[in-house]
Amino acid sequence: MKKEEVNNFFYILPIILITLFLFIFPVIYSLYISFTNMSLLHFFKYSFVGLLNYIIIFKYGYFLELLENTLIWTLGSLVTMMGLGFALALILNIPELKGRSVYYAILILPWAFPGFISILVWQGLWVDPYGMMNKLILPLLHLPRVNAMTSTTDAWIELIVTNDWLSFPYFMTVFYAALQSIPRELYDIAELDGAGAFAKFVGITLPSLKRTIAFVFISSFVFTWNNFYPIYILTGGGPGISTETFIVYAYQEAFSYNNFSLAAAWSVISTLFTVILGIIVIKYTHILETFT
Amino acid sequence: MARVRKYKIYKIIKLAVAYAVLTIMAIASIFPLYYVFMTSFSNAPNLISLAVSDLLPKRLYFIAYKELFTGSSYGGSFLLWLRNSLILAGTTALISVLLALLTGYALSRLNIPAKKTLAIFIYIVTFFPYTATAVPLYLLFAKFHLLNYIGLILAYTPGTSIFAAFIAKLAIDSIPTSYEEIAMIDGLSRFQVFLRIVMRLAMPVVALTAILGFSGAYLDFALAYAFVFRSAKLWTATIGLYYLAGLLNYASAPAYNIFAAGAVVMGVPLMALFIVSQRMMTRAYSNLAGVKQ
Repeated sequence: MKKEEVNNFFYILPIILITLFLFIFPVIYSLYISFTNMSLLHFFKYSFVGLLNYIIIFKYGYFLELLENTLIWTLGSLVTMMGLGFALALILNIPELKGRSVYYAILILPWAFPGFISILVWQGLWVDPYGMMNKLILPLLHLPRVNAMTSTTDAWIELIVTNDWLSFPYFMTVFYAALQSIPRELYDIAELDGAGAFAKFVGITLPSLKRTIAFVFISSFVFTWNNFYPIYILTGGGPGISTETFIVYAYQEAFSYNNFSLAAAWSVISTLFTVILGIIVIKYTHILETFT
Repeated sequence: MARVRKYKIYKIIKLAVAYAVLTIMAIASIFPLYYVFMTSFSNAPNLISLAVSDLLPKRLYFIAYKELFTGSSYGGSFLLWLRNSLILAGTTALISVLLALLTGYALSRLNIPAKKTLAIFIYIVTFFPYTATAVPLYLLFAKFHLLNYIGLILAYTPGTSIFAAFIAKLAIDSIPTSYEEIAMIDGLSRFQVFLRIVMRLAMPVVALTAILGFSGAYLDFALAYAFVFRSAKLWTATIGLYYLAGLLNYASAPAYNIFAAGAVVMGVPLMALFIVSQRMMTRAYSNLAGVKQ
């Protein structure tokens, strides 16, 4: 190593130290805690219990149920919001459309308004029977009432509709930018060849957007998997634990029930999943090649 | 002739459907925001008394805003919580900018051994939202007596700055190196060049990082709740708003229109900031998604 290389290393040292202290170290520490019986009762005087916490999780701890919930939450949200965002991007990209910028400015408002605050507002909207959803909107559309306190299906509807509202503008924006980068001549040539709308969509639009769709899907998968606030605020994981995901459950186990060692074990499992997903993102999107 | 007419009818139907979908989605986008805005100007103390007619009011009440700024609960007040949040978010933004630019500069310009491995290593961390590390961080910080604002700033900084460091790297790549070389011939050290020239030329990234860092800290609830919930004097505005929404303790929560006023006061400035910086955001996100513009 040359002297200059050593010097250069100091530029990147702060971020490495911070990553070690704030990420690697806590994860190792919670791995350690997950083998103990630390809780509010045993906050300072805790002892080793071996694999007990993991046995609880896999035997009685609803591991499979939480995995299933997390998958419903992630895929249910992702498929609907990507579909909605993509459809709106296609509509905004119609050349004859007038007032495009006005519509666009309105449609990104849900993204612009801070998500945490929107979720608090939506929580009030969904309250049954006094919230505006059940008092005004759903009767207006001749739809049945939604009560997330008693019905698991209703709880998922509430969560996914809210999440769609929060996130579709992001997908719309990214897809719209990608659509605009497709050269118009491609469509003109296809039209001369007599291609219909469907043929143009399958032959030109989809292949041009393949990379963007893959990137958006994979990175949003990780984001939604770990998305905490909608579930924590809207249903709190209920009814029962039927909409509880890994990350929400770990948080509640720690800060609602003060069961720190069990929460640590859930965090370790949740971290493992995130790391695996992260490696898939890096491998599949080649995103780091853009950066390095 | 018939074919042309058929084509025309198809086009008209297509446009009609397009306008219909856009209008429905536009109404859906606005409604929750319009609703909270109107609720903040109503005098309805709770959801039961909030009527549909309050959404098209004949008269606006400012009582909710008055009580928001003058009332106090558990020894804290909304203004105090807002001040706490602003200090927290401002400091986080400042540190994030320095850290992101420094790292971005190193990744872009400097010859560092094992650069790629290091990049992968720090990139994985961006997949962890604060909430994913909340439990481990809490356990660790409890040991180091860091369950306070210093701990919160420490915890908020890496997420934003790593993400921003990669955006900064792309931006610095597009700045010609000749400026720096000339400055270094004139006798500036590499670090001075970084501070005086690179930071200035990469201003859009500086702004973007500052906005991301600020809003990340300003809007976090999970870590703030875990770290500083114990005293209402230490609450951030998000904990305050959670309490005002009646989610902490429904029975002791103040009127619902006060929550709505708080949501407007907290949300609207950030929404404005987002709209102002939207072009920048879109470019950054599209760059990441591999869209050439």
